[in-house]
Amino acid sequence: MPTIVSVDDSTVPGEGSSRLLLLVSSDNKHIVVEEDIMSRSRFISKQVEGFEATSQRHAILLPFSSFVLNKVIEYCSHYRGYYLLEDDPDAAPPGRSPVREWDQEFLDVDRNMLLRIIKAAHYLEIKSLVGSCARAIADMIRGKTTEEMREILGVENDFTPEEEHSPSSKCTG
Amino acid sequence: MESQSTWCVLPLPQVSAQNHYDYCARVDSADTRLLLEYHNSCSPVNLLPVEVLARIFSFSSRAEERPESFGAPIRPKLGWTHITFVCRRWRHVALNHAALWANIDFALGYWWAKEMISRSKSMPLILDRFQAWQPLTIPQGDLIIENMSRIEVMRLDADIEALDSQFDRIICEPVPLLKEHCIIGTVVVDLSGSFLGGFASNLRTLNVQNTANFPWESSILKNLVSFRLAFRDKGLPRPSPEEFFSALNTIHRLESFNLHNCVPTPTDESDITVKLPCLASFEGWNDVRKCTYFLVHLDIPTMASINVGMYYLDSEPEISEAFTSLAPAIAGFLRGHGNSSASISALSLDDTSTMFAVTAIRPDAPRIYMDFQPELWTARGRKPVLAARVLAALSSEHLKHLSVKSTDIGWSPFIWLDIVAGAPGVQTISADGQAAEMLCLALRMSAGSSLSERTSLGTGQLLLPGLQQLSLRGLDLTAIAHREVRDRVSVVPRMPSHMREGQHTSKTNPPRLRGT
Repeated sequence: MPTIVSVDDSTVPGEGSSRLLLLVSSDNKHIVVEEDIMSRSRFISKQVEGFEATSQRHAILLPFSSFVLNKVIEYCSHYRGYYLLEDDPDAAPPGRSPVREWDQEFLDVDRNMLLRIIKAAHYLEIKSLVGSCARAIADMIRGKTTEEMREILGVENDFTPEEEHSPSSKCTG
Repeated sequence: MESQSTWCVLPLPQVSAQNHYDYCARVDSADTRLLLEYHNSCSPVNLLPVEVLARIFSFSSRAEERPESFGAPIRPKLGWTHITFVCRRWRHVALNHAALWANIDFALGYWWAKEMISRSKSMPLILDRFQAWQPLTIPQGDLIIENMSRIEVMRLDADIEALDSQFDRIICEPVPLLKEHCIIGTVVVDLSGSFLGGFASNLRTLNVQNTANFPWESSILKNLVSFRLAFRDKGLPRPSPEEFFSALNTIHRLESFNLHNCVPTPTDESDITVKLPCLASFEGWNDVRKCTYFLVHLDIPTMASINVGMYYLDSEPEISEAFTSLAPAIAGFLRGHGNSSASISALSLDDTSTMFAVTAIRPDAPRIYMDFQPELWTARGRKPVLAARVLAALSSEHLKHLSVKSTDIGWSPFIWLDIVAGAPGVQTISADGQAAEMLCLALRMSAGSSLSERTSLGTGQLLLPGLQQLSLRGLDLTAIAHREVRDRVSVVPRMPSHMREGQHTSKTNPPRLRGT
């Protein structure tokens, strides 16, 4: 669960036509963003509903860096007001929609950054971004050998010799 | 000294040197494995939640987006299962993510099919036998029948080697969850038995090829959204118009309808209107004359796309007949939908080396396509003439935009006369290749550079009073004929460098060509 802290009115910019949210990253950067932009995040939406109940102003502390948070905000800003199939809980199974060109460019980042973004998107419950990142990672490993997959994603072979050659053997994880 | 004596009394394993070496190796490998396991647990990818990792795996297992062949996607084999060999966590996640294993491809053999069904637990199954050229064995058939209650999508091939009694059993079994069914192959499948047990309330997509005795009266059709019926064998008996139209009138949700070689033979007596309120797309192949008859009987308020085409035509008269019968039918179809005069606002003709297509766009019903794939050597040089007939029949006084993309020979100034005769209000024309050359020539002849040229064009004249933009591609301005045209419009400013690749545009009225 995120930590929600009360803040002074002075911390939050004045109310305009669109409500503003204060997001605090793990490196203690304060980012003010319009609520409208972040409405794609079900996590933020639920938090905002909670604010309305208490009629207090809050900042939302998030467990990832401002760099990652800014990327997520960039994604949400780009698709502000757009309907994305994957974000619709009543829609058909996700993943059928074609890869969006903008997403491909947006996610043209290094492996670690991509993993951080997908983790943040999962935390914030932005299904479309999780889907796009998952597709990008899947593209990285598609058609690769086991060794190549390990190398790409920085994983080591931790099987016993018996396990390694028995795909259906039960692993305890 | 004491430590030395303690060391000396430690019991050594009473084993051979080889066993001792193995023992040490095991101890080492266990330690190493623990270290590797710890390393993996800290790896960024393994810090992802299980559901996210599973999502990545499901994307990597999914078929790549490729053009579909006869409705069935071309799927990769099981290369993606390498993920279960990467590390213990990946294997654990993959083996416990049932949906990952629910897409069963029998081409991979019985063992894999059985294993995947087992791993998919209770998930709905997608069963695929497409491009499986081996016969369906008895154990495979039994496996399918055992799991009928879980099958959501079933794609079966019906090729000569594969067809046996198992196949007949499978297509007659009821499949309560079935949403998509596809039977493809070269062998005629007789559906006179109880197709799907006569019950498939969830069936939304049906794709059947080469079927005899199709159950038109069956209730399995009534919930279809997409329906494709194809006869490879032209000799197969067609449905009667009555049973065909009656069946269609029960499919109220149909959105996509695709017929290959199987439009019923028209009879003058049948006077049935087919109401398909949701139909958005219709494709009819090789029965152009019959398709036009079918279109006349349709009442389809939401139709956005008609695609009527042909391939494997043997003779030029056949092509010619198809072309000439189709265009008036399409025009009639347009008029039949509340438009006393078909108000097509844009036409585009795309004639590549493999296809001839006409796209007509009208403001209220977005697009109508006509695709033709006659054998090239037969139609070579004749397509422009035939295209002109189609366009002349379709064009209207409301036509504003005309686009012709052609690689074919056979264009002449007279064809352009035919094309634009019925479209005096055209505002933009775009053409390339020989079509552009001939349009240029027609314009020059209409301008009457010499009396003999004007006479050669006959009494007609290429009058385009409303033309605002003319776009020509692939025109060789160094050719003598065009140089003359270029000289006649020499007052027009020099063309910008980025347009020198062959596109020449004029926004003045009357039309003029910009020259370099």
